[in-house]
Amino acid sequence: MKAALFYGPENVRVEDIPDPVAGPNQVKIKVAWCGICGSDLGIYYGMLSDVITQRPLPVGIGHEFSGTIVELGPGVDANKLAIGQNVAVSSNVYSLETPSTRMQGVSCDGGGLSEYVVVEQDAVYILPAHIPLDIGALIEPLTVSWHALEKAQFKAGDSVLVLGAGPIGILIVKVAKVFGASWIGVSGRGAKRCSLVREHGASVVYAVPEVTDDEIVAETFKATKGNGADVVVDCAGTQSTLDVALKAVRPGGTVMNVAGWKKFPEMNMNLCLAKEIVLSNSLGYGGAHPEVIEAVAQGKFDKLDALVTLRVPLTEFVEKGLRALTHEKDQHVKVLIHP
Amino acid sequence: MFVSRRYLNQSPARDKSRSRSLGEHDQVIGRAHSVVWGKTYRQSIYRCGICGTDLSIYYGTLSETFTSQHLPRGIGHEFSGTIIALGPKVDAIKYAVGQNVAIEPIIACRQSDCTACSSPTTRNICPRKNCFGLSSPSGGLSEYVVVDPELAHILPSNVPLEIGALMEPLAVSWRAIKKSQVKPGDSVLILGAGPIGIFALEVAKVFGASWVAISGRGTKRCDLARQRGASAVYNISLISDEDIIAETLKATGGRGVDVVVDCAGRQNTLDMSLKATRLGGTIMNAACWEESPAIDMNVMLAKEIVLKNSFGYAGDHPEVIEAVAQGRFVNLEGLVTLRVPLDDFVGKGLRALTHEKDKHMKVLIRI
Repeated sequence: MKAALFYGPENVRVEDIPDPVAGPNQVKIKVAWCGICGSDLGIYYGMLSDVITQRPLPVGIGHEFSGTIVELGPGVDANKLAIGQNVAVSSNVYSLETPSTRMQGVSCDGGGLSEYVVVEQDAVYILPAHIPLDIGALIEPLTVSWHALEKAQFKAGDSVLVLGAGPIGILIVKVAKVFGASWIGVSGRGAKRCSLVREHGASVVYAVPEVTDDEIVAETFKATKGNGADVVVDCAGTQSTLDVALKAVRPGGTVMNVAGWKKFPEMNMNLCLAKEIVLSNSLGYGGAHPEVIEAVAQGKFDKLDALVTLRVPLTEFVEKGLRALTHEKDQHVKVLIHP
Repeated sequence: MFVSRRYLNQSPARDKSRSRSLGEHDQVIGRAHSVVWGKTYRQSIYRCGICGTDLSIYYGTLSETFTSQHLPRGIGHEFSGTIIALGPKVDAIKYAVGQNVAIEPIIACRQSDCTACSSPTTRNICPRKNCFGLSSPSGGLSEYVVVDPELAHILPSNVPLEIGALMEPLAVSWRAIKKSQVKPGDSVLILGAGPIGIFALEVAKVFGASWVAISGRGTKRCDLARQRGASAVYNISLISDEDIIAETLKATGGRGVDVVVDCAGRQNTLDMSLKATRLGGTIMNAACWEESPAIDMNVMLAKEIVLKNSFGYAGDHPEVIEAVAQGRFVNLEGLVTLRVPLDDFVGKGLRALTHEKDKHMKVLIRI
């Protein structure tokens, strides 16, 4: 089968390798769609080497995928799973008991950027019939966003400032709306992303860099009766977004980091202290897949397909997929690859 | 009355001129934000402790986040005393002349549109707060002070006044441990064995932590930590940061601790916190920082660490005093290493904490 393999920084090749075999408690999936994540870019450019090199190279990459079950390994519960079912996959095999995090398409055997992949049966979630497979590939980033807001204890009536209008930022906005946010401010770069995030539920969009950081903070205070936002979600991960977050969050509020960072920022700890800010971090799913799939099935998320701005065959993953997100970043939200 | 006042770059002078009288509507505190109270009372002060923050004030290094620029101002915020007069509207059923009290020095704005003031447990983060001894004209290092009765916590008869002066720092540590959600069986690493760190050790054990280690500087502080029941004590003059991490991981089966409490507030303690915390664990910052540290946000993300902050106290004093009255803390007076009259506040009190820091825990001033 064809698979995208990471050999090293800026060295990803789509090659023919043997099909994986479903072992005990595993299922084999024919991949339909796999989305590209900011972290895949990070892997490609060599910024996440610590995580990747837990496994001998090359490794398969891609962790935002959907597909169809084609084989059940020994011991798989045949009452729950069957050949032919469409599924979304939870990529994070994460255990608090062991110090390492294993993640499909990051540090495990096999990733979603391949024709077939083998996963644990517990990691598989059945897609209701009316959810198409391309939307199925959006379940992973949608669940990341859902869990991040849950973890921030976001509740109906809360205000949220979202820093960054990329795929996660836009999905955070959509989830915040579903959660009943009273005000959703978003900062973003590029006309396309800013107009898209407004369409998807932002109360107000601050186009950076035309709108300054100080203005974003001032406007957030104005919009929240001088208190500051209940939650600030940093999807961008820069010194400037961290500074804005600490100033714009209300006393006692939560700054939720979901971003990967190119550089370590400095943190104004005295400001954090005087405001008793909670700085939380979320990259996992918290078991939210079933809830999220249910919400999608009930139609709570509209226009999800509008977030797919490019579809590319697996063989052109690097030339068209990764390059698009590197050089035309502001034109795109989610790029889906099909094997 | 004698009042110890802070003058920029000068030694505190005696000022006999200020003696506030009680009125029906007494104007109190905070030149930046005057708050009018309907009820106040006056108390005489018995003991006032010196805090690391007082040292920073004296040496001019405390961040402006915590102080106002209006000088002179009174200093001292860890104090206990006796009620000697009640203002006209004070509830005479609850309060009486002669009662011993511990004072909670954070003064919140209590305006109806202030979100922080809408709950007694978040008044400490009111954006318009002042604090006795930090950002108000009055401080605990004086013979008398006028306070709102809500800030006065009656000491049960079995809690001596001297212990009353320890309630403030104990409440700081209590709130920090409580907000970290330390639960029975948890493992905790405390960085810094000054008063807040030692109190955090005591409180963590009261909350049922099964392994509480502490890092500190100096033999005396480390010995004290050992005496107070630390599971492990790391003397930072003898053991490196890397070794502290290695020992912590060994003690926790490779997982890391459930909670790290940073009472020191430095780049290296933050770095250690990230390494020592388990996946999904909590770092609790209780320190004031001289510099903004760099933070490895990718490690924070990969480990899904929560970095919390605990500032002072709000709504914590009653349960702290209750715990003390119930005997859950043993030999708190053992943490008082020096008692000094008010006149010697600078010459003996501050100097002891500056030059002999490692030999001292809590220094109390006799008023």
